[in-house]
Amino acid sequence: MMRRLAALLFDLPLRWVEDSIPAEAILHEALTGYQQLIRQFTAAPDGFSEQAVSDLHETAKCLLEIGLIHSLPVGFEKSDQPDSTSMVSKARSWREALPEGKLLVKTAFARGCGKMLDWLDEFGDKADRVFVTESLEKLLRHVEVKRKASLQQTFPDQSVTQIAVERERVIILFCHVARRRRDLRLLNAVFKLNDWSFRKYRRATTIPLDLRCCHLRGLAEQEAAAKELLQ
Amino acid sequence: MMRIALLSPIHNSLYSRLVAHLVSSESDMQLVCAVVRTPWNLKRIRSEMARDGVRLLKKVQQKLVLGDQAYPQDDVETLPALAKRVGLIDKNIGEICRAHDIPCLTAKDHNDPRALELLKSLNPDVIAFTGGGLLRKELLSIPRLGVLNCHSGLLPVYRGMDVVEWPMVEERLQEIDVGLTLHFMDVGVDTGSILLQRRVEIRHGDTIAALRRRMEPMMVEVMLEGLRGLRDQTITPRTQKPEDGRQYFVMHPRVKACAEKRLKEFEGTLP
Repeated sequence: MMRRLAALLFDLPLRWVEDSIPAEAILHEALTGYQQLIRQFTAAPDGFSEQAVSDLHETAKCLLEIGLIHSLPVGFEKSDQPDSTSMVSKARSWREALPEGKLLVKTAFARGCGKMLDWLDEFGDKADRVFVTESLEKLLRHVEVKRKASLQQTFPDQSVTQIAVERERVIILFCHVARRRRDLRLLNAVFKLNDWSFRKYRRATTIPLDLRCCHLRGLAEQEAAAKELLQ
Repeated sequence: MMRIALLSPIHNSLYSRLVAHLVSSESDMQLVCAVVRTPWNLKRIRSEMARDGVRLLKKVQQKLVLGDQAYPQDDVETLPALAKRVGLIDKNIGEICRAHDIPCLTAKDHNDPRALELLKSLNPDVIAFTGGGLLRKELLSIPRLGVLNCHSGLLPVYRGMDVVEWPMVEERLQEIDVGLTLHFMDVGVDTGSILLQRRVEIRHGDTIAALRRRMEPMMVEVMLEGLRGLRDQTITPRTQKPEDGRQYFVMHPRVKACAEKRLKEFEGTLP
C-alpha cells in the first residue's frame, strides 16, 4: 500500500517534466507562424531573401500536404525545376573540401552539410549515396549522444544565427531522407531536435527572418514526414 | 569449474539477483564476486537523465519504489514469478554474496579502478553483465572468455536501444520477430560475437509492456543457457559484420505510440 502511494508521487512530476511537445502544438506553431510570414511577405516581399522565400514555399507545400491549408499562396503555385547537375557538382566540391573527408570534427559539424547531403541523396549517384549513408549515421549518432548539446557549433565557425540555420537544415535533411529511405530513426531524431528547441523559439521576442522561415519549415517538414511515415 | 563475476546496476535488481542465485546453484560454476553500481551518484543520475529523460523517473518508480508490485500478481511469466519458482529469497546482491562468502563491491561505476582491481585479482572466466552502463576496454579484456550481455533484440539487425519496439515501427515483425540475443560485449554498440538467440512469440492482446515483461525471465534463462554452453564448450560464438545491422536509439513518445499501434495491427493478422 505504502509503495503504491509512493509510486503515485512519481506520476505528478512525470506529467510536469514531460519534455516532448505534442503534435497539436507543433502543427499550431507551424500554421500560425506561416500565416504571419505570408502576411508579412505579401506586405513587403523585398524584406525576404531568396532562401527565405524558398523556405516559405516549401513550408506551404508541407502544410498543404498535411491538410492545414487548402491552397498554395498566389505566386507559389509553380516551383522552378531544380538544376540538379549544378547542385550535385556543388555538393561534390563541398565534400572534397571537407578536412580529411570528415563531417564532424570534435563536436562541430560541417557548414552546409544539411543542404549538400540532401542534394547528393536526391540527385547524386550510387557512390554519392554511400557517402550520404555514412554521413547520416555519424550525424545521427552525434545528435542522439550529444542531445541538446548537438549541432551547436559548425566548422568553419559562424554566427549564432547562422549555426541555428544550419541546425534547421539538418532537421530538413533528416526529414527528406527519412521519407526517401523510410528510415524512421531520422524522423525519431527530428522529433527530439524540434522538441529541444521549441520552447526557446516560442519564448524568443525577435528571431531573424531567415532563421524564422527555416525553423517553421523544419516543423512543417517534420509533420509532413510524420503523416507519411507514422500513419 | 567456471569462474563467473557479476556486474549489476543496483543491489535489488531482480534480474541480477536471479542470475547470481542460479549461477550459485549450478554445478561446475562458481560466482566469484559481484560489482554493483550505486544509484546515488550525481554523475550517474545526470548521465541517465540525459539518456532517458523523463523515462528515468518511470524506471525509478517501477524498479526502486514499486519493485515486485510493478508486476501483475497473477502473471506467471514475470521475473517475480520466476524468483518464486526457483526459491530466490535474498533481497539484494549483497545478501547473496554474503551467503556464499564472496566479495561484493559497491562502486560508482563498473569501470572504477577498485572494481577493475577486484575483477583482475579474481581472474574470472566470464563476466555476466546484467546492466549498469557502458563498459570500457580495460574491463572487457579481463575475463578469459569475455563479458556476456543479453540484448533485448535480434542481432545483428537491431543494435542499440528500444529494439523491442523498433521492428514494430518498421513493420518488420513478419520477417524479423522480436527476441533476445546473448552476445559477448566489445567496444562497439552490440557488435560482439553472438552465442544464442531466442525468438519471442507475439500473442493476441499483447502490448509492448506485456511483451517486455514476458521477455525478462527469458533473459535469465538465456544467460544461464549461454553460461552452461560455455562451461560445456557446446557453443561456438559467431562474429557479426558491422554492415549487417544499424544502431537504434531511444524512441520518441510519438514514434512509440506508432509502435503500439502497429503491434495491435500485427496482432490482428495472427491466426
